[in-house]
Amino acid sequence: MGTVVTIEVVRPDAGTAIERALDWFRHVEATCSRFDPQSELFQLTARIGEAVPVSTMLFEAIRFAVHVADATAGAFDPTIGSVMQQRGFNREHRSGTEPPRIKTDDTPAYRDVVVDDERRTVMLRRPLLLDLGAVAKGLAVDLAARELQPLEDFAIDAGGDLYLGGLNRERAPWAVGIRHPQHAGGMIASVSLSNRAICTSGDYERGDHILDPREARRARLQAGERRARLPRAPEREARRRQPGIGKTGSVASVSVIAASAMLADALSTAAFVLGPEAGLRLLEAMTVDGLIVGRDLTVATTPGWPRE
Amino acid sequence: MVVEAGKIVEARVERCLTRYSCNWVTPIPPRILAKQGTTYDYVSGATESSDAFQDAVAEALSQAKP
Repeated sequence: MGTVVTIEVVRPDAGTAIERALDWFRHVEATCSRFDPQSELFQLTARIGEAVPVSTMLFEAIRFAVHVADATAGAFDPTIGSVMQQRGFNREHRSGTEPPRIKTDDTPAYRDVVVDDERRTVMLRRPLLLDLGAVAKGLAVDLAARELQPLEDFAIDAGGDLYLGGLNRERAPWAVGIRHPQHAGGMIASVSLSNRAICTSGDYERGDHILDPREARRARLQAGERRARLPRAPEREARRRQPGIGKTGSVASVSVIAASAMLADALSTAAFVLGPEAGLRLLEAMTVDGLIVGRDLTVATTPGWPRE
Repeated sequence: MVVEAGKIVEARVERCLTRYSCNWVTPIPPRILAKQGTTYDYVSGATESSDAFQDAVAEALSQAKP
């Protein structure tokens, strides 16, 4: 996953639990990587128009991703992969190798991913490159957390995506700093957490790697032969009237606290895309707590965000 | 990475061979220095891409062990 995973268990008799927890990261990576031609996800994208039976892990990851795409009206969209490939995010972070390019349709469209709950199959109605990046890492954190649950007090850190179980070595809730998006080494906020995941999305680490799927669609429509005009949804109209509000560029980072890292990761990505106001509305509607830092460093939180 | 008396005293990038702009990794060294005095158990931030740098840090720290 191109990131460093740290697991800390407070009690001394962790046994092989940490190794088993780390195995989940390897397993999720091997299943959900869009960079690895051997991965189940990669192989799925080669079978278009076919209902493909997939493993429970891949099925749950895709079902979750499509569900979040639905709930966020496409602000989070797992079919963004083709756009990311075009923009050069096609390097496998671990080995530095580039996978063979898949010829895909350009337009992100999670609606063309058909998930069959009964048969446990996934069908791509047209060539699409699924990117489960925002989901897979969270899923791995959650599976690792489940593995460590019997040990009660533990922390999992997957490149800043965290799950904090129980209490720290001082028998207090874990103290978590939220990185300042502009000051290296500085924190913009802190929270105390127990049995919660926290994930942060921002564009200060890997560069501009969070793409607004809706923006990509608009850009393509403008550039393409068919100069179709998109109907203006009320929200889009509102964003047009309020420059700076609701644009991806107005958010520096979004942190989300949830019971699951998979949910926290996906929703922080979606809220980042939606912008401060719509982002906070989404987080409240999904009954998670979030903190959004604007590019002007204004900080906005959901009402339930824990105060220090 | 320079480690003296169990403390990280210097961190810098000697060579940058990343596909993306090297500006992206320049904030990392000061962060390494700052983090050793932190009052937090953990830090939540956007995904770190700094594999090479992490490796360099790990390498230096392993060599620094008595």
